Amino acid sequence: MGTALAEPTPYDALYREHRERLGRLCRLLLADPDEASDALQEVFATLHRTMATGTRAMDWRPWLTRVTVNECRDRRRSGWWRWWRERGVAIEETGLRSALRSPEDEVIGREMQARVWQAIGGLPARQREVFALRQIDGCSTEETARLLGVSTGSVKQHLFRAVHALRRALGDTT
Amino acid sequence: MTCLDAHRLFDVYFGDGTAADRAHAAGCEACGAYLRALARDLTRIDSVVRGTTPPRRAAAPHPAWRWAPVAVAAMLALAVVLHRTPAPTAGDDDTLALADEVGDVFTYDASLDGDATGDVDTTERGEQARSTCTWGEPLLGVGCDEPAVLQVAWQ
Repeated sequence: MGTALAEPTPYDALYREHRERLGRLCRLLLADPDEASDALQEVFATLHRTMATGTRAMDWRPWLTRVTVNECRDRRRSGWWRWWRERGVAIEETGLRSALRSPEDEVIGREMQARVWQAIGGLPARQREVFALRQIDGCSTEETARLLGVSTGSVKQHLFRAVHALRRALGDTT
Repeated sequence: MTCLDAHRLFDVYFGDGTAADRAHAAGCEACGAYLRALARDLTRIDSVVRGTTPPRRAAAPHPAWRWAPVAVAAMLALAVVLHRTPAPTAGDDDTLALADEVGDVFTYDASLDGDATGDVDTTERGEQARSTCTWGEPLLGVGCDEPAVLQVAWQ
């Protein structure tokens, strides 16, 4: 007699569906793997608490995106002391590990990866949020504007500047 | 028709361009090249963002140097405070002499305040005050316990 597997809860389903996407969003918004991991845990803790209160079913995707953006924003705002302690630290080479091993990824050098992440970390908060939602998360201009509470024109402007800065970081490899 | 500027080409690339701009970009060699370069760069950036994690930060080799600006600021603040309250030097004889004279003036005025009624010979009392205490003598002796005398003694 086999052991009966428990039915996946709605929380489990949402966790499996959005973990990868939200983790990527956190890494992009915080540019720090450890901080991103903590932020992701907090986002799903918030989801768990919200579902435990009997919140009716809804479209969780924009809700989760908004919670993630807010969580990352709060962490960035409260991180000035950490910035003071950690400013000037060296970037650890071992942190640049590639999960994909396609030929294209092999072409992209580790140096270029470091430059891109450094450029992402140097983007102003709003530009980083717009780039993450619009380019990486696949939100439309209107969705991005609604999520961030800004105009569509502002989204376009921030996206233009963010992409311009990131393309500069690619340097001579382009 | 002139080529589209970068902002309008961005709109075209991200699906927000007008029909006219999309049509132009489709038929224009220069605009098409710009869009292809943009697509190539964004693909590379996507590969980095999706396929790698941000670099983890290592501890600084000399963390004590982080506090150097704070230490310098504290030393400057201390120097400013010390500069504003200089201690009198023993070699400044003119200043000490002036302070003695000013002290004498105020001491005599204080001793004379209580004799405004004329009951006591002020000159005699003043001489008594001078004669009963000597400089540096402990103030427990007879004749050194009156307020006016105390002031003279401490002068």
